[in-house]
Amino acid sequence: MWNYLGRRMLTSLSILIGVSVLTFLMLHFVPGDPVRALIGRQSVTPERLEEIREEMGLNKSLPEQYIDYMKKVVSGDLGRSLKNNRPVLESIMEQFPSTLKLTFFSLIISTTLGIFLGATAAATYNSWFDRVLSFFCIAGISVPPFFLGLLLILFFAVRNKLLPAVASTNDWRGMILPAVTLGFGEACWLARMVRSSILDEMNKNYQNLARAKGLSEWSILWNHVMLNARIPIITAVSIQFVYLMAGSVVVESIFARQGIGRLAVTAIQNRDFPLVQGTVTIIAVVYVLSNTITDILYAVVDPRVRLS
Amino acid sequence: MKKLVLLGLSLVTVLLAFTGAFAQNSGGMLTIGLAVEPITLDPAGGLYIPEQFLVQQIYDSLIYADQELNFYPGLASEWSSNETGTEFTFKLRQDVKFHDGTPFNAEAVKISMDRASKGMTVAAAAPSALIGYIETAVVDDYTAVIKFETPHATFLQDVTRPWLMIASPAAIEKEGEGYGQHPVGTGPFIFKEWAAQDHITLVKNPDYNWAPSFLKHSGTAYLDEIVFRVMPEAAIRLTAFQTGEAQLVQDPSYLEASQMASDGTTQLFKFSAPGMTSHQMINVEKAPTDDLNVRKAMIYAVDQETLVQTAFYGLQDAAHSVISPTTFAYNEEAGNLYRYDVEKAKALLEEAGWVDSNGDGIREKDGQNLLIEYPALPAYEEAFMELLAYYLKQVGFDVNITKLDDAGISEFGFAGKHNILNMGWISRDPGVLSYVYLSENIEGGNQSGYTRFRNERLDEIFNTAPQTLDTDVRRELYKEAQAIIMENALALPIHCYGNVYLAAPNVEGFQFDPEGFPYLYDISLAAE
Repeated sequence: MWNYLGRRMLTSLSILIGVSVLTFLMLHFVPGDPVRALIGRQSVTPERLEEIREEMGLNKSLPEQYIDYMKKVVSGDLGRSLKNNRPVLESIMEQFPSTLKLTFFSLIISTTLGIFLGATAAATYNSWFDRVLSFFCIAGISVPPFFLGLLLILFFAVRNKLLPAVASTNDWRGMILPAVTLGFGEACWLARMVRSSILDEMNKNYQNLARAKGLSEWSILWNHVMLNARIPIITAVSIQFVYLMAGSVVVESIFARQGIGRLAVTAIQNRDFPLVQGTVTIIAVVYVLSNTITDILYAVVDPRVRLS
Repeated sequence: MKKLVLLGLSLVTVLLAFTGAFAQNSGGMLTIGLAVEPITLDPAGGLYIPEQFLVQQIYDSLIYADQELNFYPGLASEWSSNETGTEFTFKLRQDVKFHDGTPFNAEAVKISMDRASKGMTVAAAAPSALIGYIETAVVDDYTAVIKFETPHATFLQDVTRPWLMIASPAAIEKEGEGYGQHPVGTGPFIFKEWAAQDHITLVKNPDYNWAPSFLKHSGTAYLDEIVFRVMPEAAIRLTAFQTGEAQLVQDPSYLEASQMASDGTTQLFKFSAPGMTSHQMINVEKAPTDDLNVRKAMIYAVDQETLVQTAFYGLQDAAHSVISPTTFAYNEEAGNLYRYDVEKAKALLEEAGWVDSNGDGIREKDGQNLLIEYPALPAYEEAFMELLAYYLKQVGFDVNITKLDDAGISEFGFAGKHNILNMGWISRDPGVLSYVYLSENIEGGNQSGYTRFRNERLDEIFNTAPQTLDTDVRRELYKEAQAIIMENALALPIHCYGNVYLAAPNVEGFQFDPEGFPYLYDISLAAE
């Protein structure tokens, strides 16, 4: 078990280093002078441009800049925003809870809805319910969140005034529409995934044994089949978590919510290097963490994984 | 009996006086949909629209200006300058306190001016108002003298802008680098909180009693609380307005806003800001725009009236000169030089030797197509760049649009690869023209002289006008500058910058600064 864990951690660490190198390089290969972009059309003398370049350390060689950057990152200093001079870590910590909240709410919606609908569809395989659900799931997966979000706003906020469209992040009622927007497509995807995982298990011999023992179909589904369908479902949920986080970029913009996705987008538009690096690094850390946790969960629920 | 009647009458008078005082609905909360989040709320760090909007609710300036640019006492009760225009003396009010309780005095003015002259963010606008700043001398507690190396004709004008508003020295000291996120001023509203990308909340300053006299009431503001919600998407701002979640929104989607305003259920405010118009600077060094006739033909070819109607649904005004008509020293004559005339444009091109010999709709000369290189910034020019190209193509130009970002455009322009390049700058004074039309700025300076046009007289005007204290002389100088620019066809005007606001019908008492930003001090919410 410890051996397994150690190997997972090493892989995660190397991925993080790779990410840091990539984000660092990507920004430097984007065409255009970052200092110019920062200043926009303001009138500035070339001398002042040079000064700013020096202040930002942009006149050093790339490896030097990278080492400087990593030294600070390791000590918990992600630098200051070029635009408003605030510490990057402070901005991220301020925005992150909102994204996490949104992601978790959507995850609850997508997993409960997805697992319940998927399991029911599998249990009633080939019935009218199964077919109608399949149809809706395809539709749900195909509708992009920005479109669904606008439809929901139009119906619930503008027409019927049941829910706020752009409520402040602290208002729980404002969470409903964004979470549904973000979670709906994923719920549909998960429902299909759960349905097919269960159907795969359904035809195996241990089920015939269970039936022969006289267990009810419902008990077979929840106590036997689901137990074995856990691994693919855990994988699906973990992938979803990351997908939902990525999707929050769009949803946060539609509903004008706080969040790390919007922070990253604005930072990229402003070419705010430290802020871009900071947000991408944090998102990568969360990604790697969630994958590692998933791997550990595999080992917990399935002895075959930890022994191999 | 008589006494009773008198008593009755005076009671009525008292009652009337009371109802009079309470006719304006005091209290309430206003939610504003903000298009762009401010970078900072430090006057010395701000640079643009969102900072200006908020800063002038939290802070006061030494002098205020109404929309006609008349001066009114603000934090300074009197002011004067020396004869050479290098020293400005401000006598300060003695009864003013910052929101944190710090008394306002000459030392506070000095600290704010010193910071403004350096600029607290990379792109801060404040330093450009304090070029040649030497120091602020504190003569006594309530007298400050601001000194410059050279005469500064527009300084009093600059003092009225948000960038030179006065911040609390105690708060600056206490917050250090974080001051821009925790601003403290003397204004009608106190900063309460800022949740980035979500909202900024201001509350009424209960001690406020020093409003400039051109505003419609005195004492404290009417509103208890103002929430600025940051909503970058125009469609979302409009939605928030429709659902009633915001009662005032900045720059809504123009199409819907114009429709809503036309059915009379909302209030729509639009302003043509003073300063440079949004115009295309025309490069006089690169062919084919090195030919005066070609440049003139381009200006004649564009129908700005129809263009603004199509691109902005009429919510921005057409421009016909390099500065907007609401700017000081606007030259009417220069603004009337060109009006849409396709035949004239074609004749000018023919005269210059450009003819369409192969019938493909594009004119040629010596085997070269009449090609215009147009680097465009979609963020600003999306609405009209295709239309502009369409008008030019109507008379036989070919237009190559290259979409770039800010940095890309600056590089493209500095290399001289463009024929036209968009420019514009909101400002209370035409002196802003020198940023891009002074020949020093072609190779050196700020490197933004994108017309690459060199003219001694123009340089002379831009160098002397800012130091010319006689307003009439200054006006004539700037009028001449506009004439030179337009006669040489250096600018293809597009539209005047406009601030557009949509307000719910019960939001009353709008007052605007000279650039079209509202003072929220007079605003009250009528009972619905």
